[in-house]
Amino acid sequence: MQGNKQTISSKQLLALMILFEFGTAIVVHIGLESNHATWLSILIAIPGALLLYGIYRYLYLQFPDLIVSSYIRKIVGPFLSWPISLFILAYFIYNGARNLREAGDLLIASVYDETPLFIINATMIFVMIYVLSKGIEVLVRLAQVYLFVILILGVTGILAIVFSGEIEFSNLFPINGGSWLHVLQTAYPSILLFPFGELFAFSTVLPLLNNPKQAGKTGAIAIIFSGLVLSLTHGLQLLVLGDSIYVRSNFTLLTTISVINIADFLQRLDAIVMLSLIICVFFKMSLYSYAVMAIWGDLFRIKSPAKLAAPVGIVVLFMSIFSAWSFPEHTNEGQKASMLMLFLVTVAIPLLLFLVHLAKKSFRYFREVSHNE
Amino acid sequence: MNKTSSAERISTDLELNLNRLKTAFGPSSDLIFKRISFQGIQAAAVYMDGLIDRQIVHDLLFDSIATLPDDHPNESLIQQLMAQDLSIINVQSLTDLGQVISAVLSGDTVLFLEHYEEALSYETCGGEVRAVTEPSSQIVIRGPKEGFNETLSTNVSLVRRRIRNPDLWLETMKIGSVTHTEVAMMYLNGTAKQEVIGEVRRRLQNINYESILESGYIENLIEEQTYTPFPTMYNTERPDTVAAHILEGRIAVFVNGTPFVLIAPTTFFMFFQSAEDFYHRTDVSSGIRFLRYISLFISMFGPSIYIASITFHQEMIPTPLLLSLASQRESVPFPALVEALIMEVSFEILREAGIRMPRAIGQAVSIVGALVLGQAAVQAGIVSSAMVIVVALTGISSFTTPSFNAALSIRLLRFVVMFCSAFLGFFGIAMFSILLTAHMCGLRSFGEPYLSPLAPLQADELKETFIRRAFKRFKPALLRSSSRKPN
Amino acid sequence: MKRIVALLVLISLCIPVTGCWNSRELTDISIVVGMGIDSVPHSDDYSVSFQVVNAGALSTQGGSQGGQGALPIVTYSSQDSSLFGALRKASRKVPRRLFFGHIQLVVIGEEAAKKGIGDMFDFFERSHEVRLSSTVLISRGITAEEVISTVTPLEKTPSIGIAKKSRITSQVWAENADTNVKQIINDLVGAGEPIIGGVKIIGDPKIASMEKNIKNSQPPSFVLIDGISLMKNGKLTGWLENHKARGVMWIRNEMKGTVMNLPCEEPGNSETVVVLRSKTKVKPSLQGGKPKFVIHIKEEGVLGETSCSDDLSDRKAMMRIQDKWAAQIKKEISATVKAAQQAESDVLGFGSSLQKSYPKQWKQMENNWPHIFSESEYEIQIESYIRRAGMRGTSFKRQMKKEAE
Repeated sequence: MQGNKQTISSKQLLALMILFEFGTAIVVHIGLESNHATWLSILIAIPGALLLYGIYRYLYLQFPDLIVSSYIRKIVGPFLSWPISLFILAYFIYNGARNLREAGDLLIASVYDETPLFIINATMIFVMIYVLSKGIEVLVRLAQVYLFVILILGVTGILAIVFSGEIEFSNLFPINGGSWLHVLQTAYPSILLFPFGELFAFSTVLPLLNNPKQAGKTGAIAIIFSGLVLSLTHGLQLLVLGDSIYVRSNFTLLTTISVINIADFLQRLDAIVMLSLIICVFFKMSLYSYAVMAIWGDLFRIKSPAKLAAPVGIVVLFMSIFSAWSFPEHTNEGQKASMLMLFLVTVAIPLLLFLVHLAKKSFRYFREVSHNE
Repeated sequence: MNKTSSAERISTDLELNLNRLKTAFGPSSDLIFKRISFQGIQAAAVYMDGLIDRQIVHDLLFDSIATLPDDHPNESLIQQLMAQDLSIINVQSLTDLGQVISAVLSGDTVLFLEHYEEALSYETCGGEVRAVTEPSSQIVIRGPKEGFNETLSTNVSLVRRRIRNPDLWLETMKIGSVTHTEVAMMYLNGTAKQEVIGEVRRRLQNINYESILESGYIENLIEEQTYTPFPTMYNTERPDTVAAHILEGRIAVFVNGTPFVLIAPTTFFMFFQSAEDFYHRTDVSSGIRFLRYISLFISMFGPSIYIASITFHQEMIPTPLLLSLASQRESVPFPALVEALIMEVSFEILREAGIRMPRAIGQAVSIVGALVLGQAAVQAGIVSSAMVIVVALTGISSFTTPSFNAALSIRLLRFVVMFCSAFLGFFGIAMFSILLTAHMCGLRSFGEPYLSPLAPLQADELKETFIRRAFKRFKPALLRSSSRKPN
Repeated sequence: MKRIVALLVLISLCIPVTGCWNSRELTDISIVVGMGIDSVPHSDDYSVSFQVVNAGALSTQGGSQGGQGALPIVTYSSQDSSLFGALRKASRKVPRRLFFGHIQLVVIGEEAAKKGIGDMFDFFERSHEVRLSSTVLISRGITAEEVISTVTPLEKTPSIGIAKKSRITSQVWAENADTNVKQIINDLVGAGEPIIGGVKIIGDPKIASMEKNIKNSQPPSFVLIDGISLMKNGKLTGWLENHKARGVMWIRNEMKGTVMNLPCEEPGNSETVVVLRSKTKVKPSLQGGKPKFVIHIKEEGVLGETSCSDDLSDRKAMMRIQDKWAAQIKKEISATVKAAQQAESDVLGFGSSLQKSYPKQWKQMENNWPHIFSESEYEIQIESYIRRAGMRGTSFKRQMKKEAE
């Protein structure tokens, strides 16, 4: 598999997608507000996510060799495409930095309470720069390895929770947490956008797929699998913690694991949660940075985007530090500003592109038909 | 290489030839000249004592050559000698002195004839070599107990005996501008990939080095990346292992003078498989393989997890254990990292000393080292008992790795991980392991990704890596090219 | 280029030398295993006491200094208006840094509990060190500090001992609740009231903290777990004791085992049933806007001891015992519900079961729940089965009686 064009197989893409979807969603809350019936909302959001992914896939199949910024250029022309691509680029940088910030803050809040945020974030960025400078192939291979690790950690964690006897099924009721409307509102748009809409970042990776037809199947499996796992995890957290603590906690999975006490021997298995968080966020952040590198390389016609790894990494690092003064502010920002931008980037723009492209195609078709007459 | 005589032709003057040889070889007293005469011609046989088999030379000179019948007085003597039926000794005719020197150094006996411009070289290799015995490393309980020795031809023959197939091809070359060491490549044609064969050949031929004393030299010279702690070529002393790898499509590189044969391309998981795995039952082998991976984990991360738990994550240790550890550490004046370093370094010193030590003292020191020093150190309050146990367990785990050079790498990495864990606890360990895995993912050995079949994922092969499946379903197909069907 | 990068990496490696931020050596920390919270009279401050392990005294190694023969724990206390403040203030007294990752026991003083426990628990939730699974008890008649200072025989770290005591007795005698921080928080926020076990010291509390308490085969002072708290809106209002406390455990489906004495036909003798398994379902219903609760209990037991002279091989006799048993349980539970209703304290979990089944109506009743609770109707249904009678059939006493005749 030597050669200048790097390709990735569908299994590798699947691994990367799943880890990306897990991201921070698996350890903290998803959606705008923390909600009693998050687990249900996740399940409800899955069909919508599949639809949304269908749009991304359609756009990819129309231009199987082009990444996002290139096909935007094809669809709306060079003038409009620049600001759009730049907007997407900026948003990806911001989101990558946000994820990094969240991971760092959670680690500090839970275990490393006296370590400066800069050190933790810098360590992660350092490793990320190393990985990305070796190319996307290394990243996807790493994803395959670590998917196994995460699965093992996950199974261990779930078994530990189940055997600890801390689950109380009564915590599940009332199922809808008070109102069905609330459940639906959490699903659409909040969970749809985060984490499922973020798959749009993969539009920079899909062109590397060695078998384009697999794009749809891979994405669908990734969405369904990660959705089920996320739903299960959040459901378990609710069962163990109870309504009040689950909704108010910043780091729900950690709190859940910390009450486990099996035979007075297996206690405080925080390490499992920490490792999961670090690994999943690492991949999410790396993928965003890769997307930034790819778009930047494409916009500015840089030959080997791998060299951009270091500058992008440093920008993400500093942005993560300066994006918010405190964790509550970070969460607040997430709820308001970020939601809007996320909506624009992952739903509005792709939908517009889809419609414009469709319009152009049918316009061309009609023109040809009328010409032939 | 002696400048004067490389391209010089053999002259008809016997004495001149012999003198030139004497000049080339200097005062070397093991270069023997035996003058004989037969059929009225003066002749001299030249050979290197120690490289030849004396019995064969004796028979050759005094039975075969000296008794050459004088039937055809018109034919040249060279022709007659070459036509002679000498059973299995090969005869070649040489025309220049360089060839003569090369032949003598290979253990041939060269016959000069007065008035003839050609010389004959008879293959008479022999000499004292080590017998084929049990290999010193990579010992198995069940399986063949033959190990390679230092002679290339013997080693090649040991593999030939196991794969009796004409597709087993052998290419030899001489590498090393001063040592002219014989190096051979062996592979199964049709199974091994052409690109890999070509790559290995190309790299071997590109070696521009003076001395090749051991296969390690070759390994260093043809490796892709030198800035990696992981070996990218496998080496082994066992013919059955070499045969198994050749059958999977890999290439074996033999080097004269060492029993260690190189195998390329390599994956990380090869270092954790032992030949024995295939000789035992599947469930037993799977269990033991699984144990090996656990030992790998312990030997790499053992002390680090201990340090991280003790200094950063005290809440993860069960309370009674923590209280016991706390009471042990009361008397130790060092921070956990320093204590761990002291113990680990001492252990490494003991281990190295154990290898070099003469057999007689070895046993005593191991008992002294392990029991008395450890106990005394604990009593003196230098280290805590828990640390002794952790280090001992780590050390023993590192011995389960079948391959020595991989174990070395892991030992060294262990120290780096210890520093990471002392700095940032579990986060440090996690980050370092991501870094390390990323490094391994990016590593290739002759075109083969280092972490196959885990990444890129080949599900069939993966099962074979971590556990062993029954032979009936076993289809080794790692590097097969399309022409050969799997069994 | 590579060299510059290598140089930068080397320089950045010097950063760790400045010190690792979160690294704490075991010899730098004092492990806190128990914590007591009292209120300071005439003020809003808390007086917090800590039971800290004396690691040197626990040592089994030969070469350890300092602490052979000393007591395994040391107690410190400090006062401040917030819990966290009191914690850090204690650093003025404690020679090492306090580490809370292993807290086993939290004792709340009776006076502090009367003022209200809601304010205390935010600290427990928010901190990442403190465990949500620590056992909580309320001290009766003494301060929490005194409980925390006791040394106990048999268990080197008293907090672990008391926490174990609480857990075991709630499983075998069931007149006590073994609640942890997580459950209390959930109960405080939820519909009912938390139940917290009570702890007393029998004997002189001063002696309880001295060495001679453990050097005696009959310790002069020891810790006793006694009673379940009754609370109203998080403030302690009273106690349920003995069989009434047991009823609470039954109704809340937390009964794991206990022993009941049933009187025989002959006066003065009794037989004993050991409860093996118990499952309770509380079904709420609304009748005309008023809640009614049907308490359905399914019990399995074993006959453990008898001084009656029933013929245990007779099926009718066994059924009689079962009925007696069911009647006794019903009596106890009635008494419990009455006592709880009288105190207007929903420690029985009625509110939360109502909330789960009728969320809309619950919203209207929420604010007035203690009052509505005290006027709710209830019905008790009991299914009891005695499965076995141990290793013997009929009692030897019956045989004795036969021979006497």
